[in-house]
Amino acid sequence: MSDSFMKNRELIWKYLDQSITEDEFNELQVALKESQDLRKLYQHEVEVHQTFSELRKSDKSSNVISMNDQDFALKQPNKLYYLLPWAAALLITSMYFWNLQSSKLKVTLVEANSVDWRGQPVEIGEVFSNRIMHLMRGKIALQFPTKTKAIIEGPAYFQVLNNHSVELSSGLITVEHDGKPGEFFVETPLGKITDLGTKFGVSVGHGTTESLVMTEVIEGEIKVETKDVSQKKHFLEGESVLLTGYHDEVTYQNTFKNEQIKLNFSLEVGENKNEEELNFALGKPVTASGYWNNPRMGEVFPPTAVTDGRYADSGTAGDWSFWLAPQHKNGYFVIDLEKVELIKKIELQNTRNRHYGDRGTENFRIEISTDGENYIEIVNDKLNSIKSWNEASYPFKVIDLEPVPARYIKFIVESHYQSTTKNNSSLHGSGGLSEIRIY
Amino acid sequence: MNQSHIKPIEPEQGLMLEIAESQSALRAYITKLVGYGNHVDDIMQNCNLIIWEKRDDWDPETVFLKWAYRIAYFQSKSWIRDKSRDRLHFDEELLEMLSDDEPNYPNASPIQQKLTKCLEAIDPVKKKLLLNRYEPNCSMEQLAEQHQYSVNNLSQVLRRLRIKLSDCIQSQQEVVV
Repeated sequence: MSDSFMKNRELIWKYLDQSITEDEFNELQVALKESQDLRKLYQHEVEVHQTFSELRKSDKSSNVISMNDQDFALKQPNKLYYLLPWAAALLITSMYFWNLQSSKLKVTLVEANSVDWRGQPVEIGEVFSNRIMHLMRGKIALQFPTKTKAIIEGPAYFQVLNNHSVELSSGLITVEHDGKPGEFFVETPLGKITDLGTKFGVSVGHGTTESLVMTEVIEGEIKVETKDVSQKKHFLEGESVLLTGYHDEVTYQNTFKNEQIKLNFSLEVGENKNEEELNFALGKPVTASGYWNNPRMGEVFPPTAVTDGRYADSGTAGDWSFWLAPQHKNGYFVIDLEKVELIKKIELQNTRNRHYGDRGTENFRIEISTDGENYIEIVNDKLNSIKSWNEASYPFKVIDLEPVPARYIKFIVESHYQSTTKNNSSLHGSGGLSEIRIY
Repeated sequence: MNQSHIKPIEPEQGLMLEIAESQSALRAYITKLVGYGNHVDDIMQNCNLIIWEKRDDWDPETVFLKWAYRIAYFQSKSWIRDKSRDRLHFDEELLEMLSDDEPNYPNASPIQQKLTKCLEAIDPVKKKLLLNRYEPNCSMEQLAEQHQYSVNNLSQVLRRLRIKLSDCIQSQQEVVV
């Protein structure tokens, strides 16, 4: 066995023993990336480590010393029945504690629009538990006893912590608080945002190495506290801030890419359109010629965003709801409806790249195919540019068709909009689209 | 036993069995991603709850562990993102690689059998030392004092022992294969 192999093996055990130094850890990380054999070994050592720990936990160690294979063979058939009550007890205990905690909660779901819950759903009128909730799509309104209404837009992960706070791990929340100042707060991965009698919005997104928390005061005042208490700051109406970082290393920024931080917060849940039954494109896979991708800051705009059921350049860092082609490219994307459908109408919503207003589709064509190889053109048209970044300014262009069978829909950008002023000595621009609906 | 008295397994009972069966494998998978420590219990707990919550999403025709590993992967990632203060953790690229190499043992017992056999060949004093290391809340300092080693020496002794046992287990696996 080579010296480096033995050294890496030592490092694995040091890591499992929690006695590894940072330099050694970095060395181990590089070695694991480079060698699949080492990863296999690491897996094996973890399993051995795990088995030691289980032997001790199940208090079998004294028997283990003298136990032989035959003893094991005798014990094996009972193993499931030995584990089953344990698993049941774990689940029942967990449920019990949930219920116990939840019984004290008085946070209710009061409105919902086009929601898609992952895991156990919550119905209107139902009281929330302390569970971590995954809202895949749609908007909901929560009413807190503190006279606080919070609107959360999916995709979002959140957890109602108690009757006066919510933790947002990712997604968008807009809060309207009519109760006592300082009574309600939103926890985020980078800090706590306390309401001081106001309306405010918070978005939480993630880049590859950092979290990004944006907050904007719509009315009144908020207090932002990061883990480093010296970084406590107050913000007033019209002010916004971007927190970036990781755990307790947080940086405040008043601008993002040299622009003032803006988000499209909404205090309305809207009407339930029950689109899922109608829109063939919703949630369907999309491939594209390319997309704008700067994951470090969460500036990622994949083509799948055009069928995600979210509109008007919404979303959060790392999870924006619109597709952008790479810089200066027109681009195209193809939706696979996964089976041939008879389509009668296509609706398109353009993008403007949020408040930047520097991208979007101008002239475009739509081609369809039933086999993914032979396409025919059915539309050749133009989209208007979006004038401002608010939901009302994002119309859907409706294209009625003679009913036609199609499985693959190709949207091809022929020309795109771009910025009217130079940014860093160049004009920005590319094709893009916020949403496509197919009926 | 009269066969007609055996009740068919209900779907939820089936899932409970799967959950119970998969605990060791899931724990090993999580440990591989986030390292050893008490936090593995927290992630396991969340994982079990989410598996239970999402039970309707699991298709009993598919391999339970594959589905459970995905949940464990995302729970581990989310722990790293939100809670792993002051701990060294693998970057995204390596996590992805490690998650792709799914553990190949479905439950702990095959390794337990081999480990038991391998332990028989080890000096009883060293065996005791090794097993003491896995006592709950055991610190290296206490253990070193108890066995009259320096902490550094003890670490080395333990590492050598475990490597020896790990090799012993591996050689048995190779023979079996």
